[in-house]
Amino acid sequence: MNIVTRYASPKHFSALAKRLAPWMGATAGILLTLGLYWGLLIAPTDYQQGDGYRIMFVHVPAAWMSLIIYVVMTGCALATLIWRTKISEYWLLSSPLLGASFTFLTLVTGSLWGRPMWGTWWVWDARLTSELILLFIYLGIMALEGAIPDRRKAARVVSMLTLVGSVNIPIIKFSVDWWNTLHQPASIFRAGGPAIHPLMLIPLFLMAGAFTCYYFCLVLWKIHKQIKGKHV
Amino acid sequence: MTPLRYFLFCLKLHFRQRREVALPLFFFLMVSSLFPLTFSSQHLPVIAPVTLWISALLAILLSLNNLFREDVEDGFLIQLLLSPAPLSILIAVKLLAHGLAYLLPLFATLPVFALWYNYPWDSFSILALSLALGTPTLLILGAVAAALAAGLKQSGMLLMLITLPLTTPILLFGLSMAEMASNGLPWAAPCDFLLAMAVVSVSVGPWVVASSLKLGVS
Repeated sequence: MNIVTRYASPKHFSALAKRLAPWMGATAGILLTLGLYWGLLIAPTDYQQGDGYRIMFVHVPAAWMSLIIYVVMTGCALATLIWRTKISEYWLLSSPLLGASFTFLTLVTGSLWGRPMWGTWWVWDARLTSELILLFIYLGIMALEGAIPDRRKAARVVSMLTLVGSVNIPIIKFSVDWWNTLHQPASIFRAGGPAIHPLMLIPLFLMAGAFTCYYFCLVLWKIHKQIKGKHV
Repeated sequence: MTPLRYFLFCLKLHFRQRREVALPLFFFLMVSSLFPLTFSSQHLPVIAPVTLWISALLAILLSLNNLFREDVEDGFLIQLLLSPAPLSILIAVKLLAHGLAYLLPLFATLPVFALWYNYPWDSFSILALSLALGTPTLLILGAVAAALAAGLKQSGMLLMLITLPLTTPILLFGLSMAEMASNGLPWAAPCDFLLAMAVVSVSVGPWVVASSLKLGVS
């Protein structure tokens, strides 16, 4: 049997998710330990920002996750509307809370970082504002999802809203390039290669890996629980 | 039901329910007259675009609160789905009638604000133009949310929560257009953006609203 059609069935996917989730969690724990150790102790001190820049190792991966989760949700929304696959519905409904949490983490760490570096907790700069709007979009999706008792109908309605809201993602990604405001422009994924020291880059990617594994661990576990709850 | 007959039907319905149609308009007038009351008069020309845009946005969202509720509850939506004309065309016609019934009176009251806010007439026309270009997009975004929330409890609050984050780009570009014009700067760039959004939402919007409604009732 084709591997895609096999794991599109909730029964097989649930078994796979149950086996994968602990591994994802363990990987997340290891990567988090390594990333924090490297980021806090090995990475060199910044010549301008001192040790305060180290909050970046939480802030930047969390910001990536806040966008990636929305992109993943957009993919699930398309799959839900086009193929009506159940797994994409479960995945879509399990994601907004995690996306909102990462967005909130981004805003809080960014605010803590901004206080010593910019001298202010908050400015209405293009990227901060668009990230805040992303949080509101996640909350709107959660509110809409919570108002519909039927899960399959909720998934379809949420898909539509996710697709409409996806217009905001490129605006957030490119806000620092389009508008020249306080938040610094992209320094990692940019034309001409990363602009930061490799010893700072490695813990950044370790932390990004840890957050990604954490997301997968929780989503897979939630899907497994939901499918199990339905078939009991 | 042909699109033309449905259009006339919607217009007639709005005319018969003119008391309901007047409510968002009164809301708009009251909210935007609270600001001149509470701000000192030298700030009024500065806050005029913001207050007009935000009260127009809220008034439009209020007007959309019951857009599909009756149609879903009394089964008229099923009739529309069964009619030979595609649902997206009928929705486009319904939204056009809604826009005519709610937005035209709103625009008719605008000159009052130029007097209330002590706003210079030449840049006030640009402010009115920014509203004219932005409000159709706001209406359609709100209609998508109204379609998604149709038939749910608390749909009015949900409508606001869903729509407000999505409308921020329109609000920002509309305001920057009005502010650039009042500072004597060229305002073509935000104007083009508003126009582009209006074209996209008018051409794609009715189809998105129709698909959302089908999701909601199926």
